[in-house]
Amino acid sequence: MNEIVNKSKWFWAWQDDKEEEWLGKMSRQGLHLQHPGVFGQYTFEQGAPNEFAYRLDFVTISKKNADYYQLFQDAGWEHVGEVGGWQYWRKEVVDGKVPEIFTDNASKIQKYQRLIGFMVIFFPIYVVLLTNYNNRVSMQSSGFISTLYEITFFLFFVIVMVLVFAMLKIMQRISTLKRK
Amino acid sequence: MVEKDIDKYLPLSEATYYILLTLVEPLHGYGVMQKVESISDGTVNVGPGTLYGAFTTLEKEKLITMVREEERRKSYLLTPKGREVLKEQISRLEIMTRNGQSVLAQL
Repeated sequence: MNEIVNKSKWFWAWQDDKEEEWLGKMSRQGLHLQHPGVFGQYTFEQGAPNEFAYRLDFVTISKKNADYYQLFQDAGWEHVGEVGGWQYWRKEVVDGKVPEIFTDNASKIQKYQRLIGFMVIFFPIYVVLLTNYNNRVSMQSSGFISTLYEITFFLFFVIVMVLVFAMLKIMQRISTLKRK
Repeated sequence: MVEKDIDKYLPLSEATYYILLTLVEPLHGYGVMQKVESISDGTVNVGPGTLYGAFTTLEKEKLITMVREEERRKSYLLTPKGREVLKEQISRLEIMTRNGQSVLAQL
């Protein structure tokens, strides 16, 4: 059994390229990803240093899309894990030739469009929750309950702001790709 | 108007053009990747993410159709519409090449 190393590192949704780079750097140090975790908790297995290219795709699919995994595996990619629609793929770098899962800008743009499409689904939910909480807070008189509602309201407000910011960042990436 | 219908798919991107060329016979994903690389003399390389997306789009546009699924591998083939689009693209490329050749001597 090889040694297991846990690491915490936070990447935002628009920093997928930074995350890919970091995972590649870890592999050169002999730390090979075992599980990408939720909330930035990564599990690595300590082994011999080897250079891997890590690539992230965003697809929310079910088991019936087995052809997706099969195609990547046929092309020599190993599926390391999935977190909230993010698919972690890796392939060895041979003779300095870095493999890519996306070989043109059009398909990179489509990946970010899928991500935005996914985020948009949650948007109305948050807006409804926000409005609902706002109404309730104004009806409450008790101090403690009122504070509790205010905190929740504030948390939802922060989530919505982060979501809006993330969507803007991703749209920015799309337009940069379109200009290339 | 059939003509107009075809025009909206043109020009095809380099990757899409090569993918469609290989689908003149039924082929699964990895087969497409290998064939594109060999017929383009290694100039065009299609990654699996790009190919999976292209299959989805082209199937939705009814330019290709799934003909077989075995061991989790889907094989696709050009539809009659896909053939028309490809034919039109090839004839446009011929015109482009002809024009290029006539200028090439002066370069």
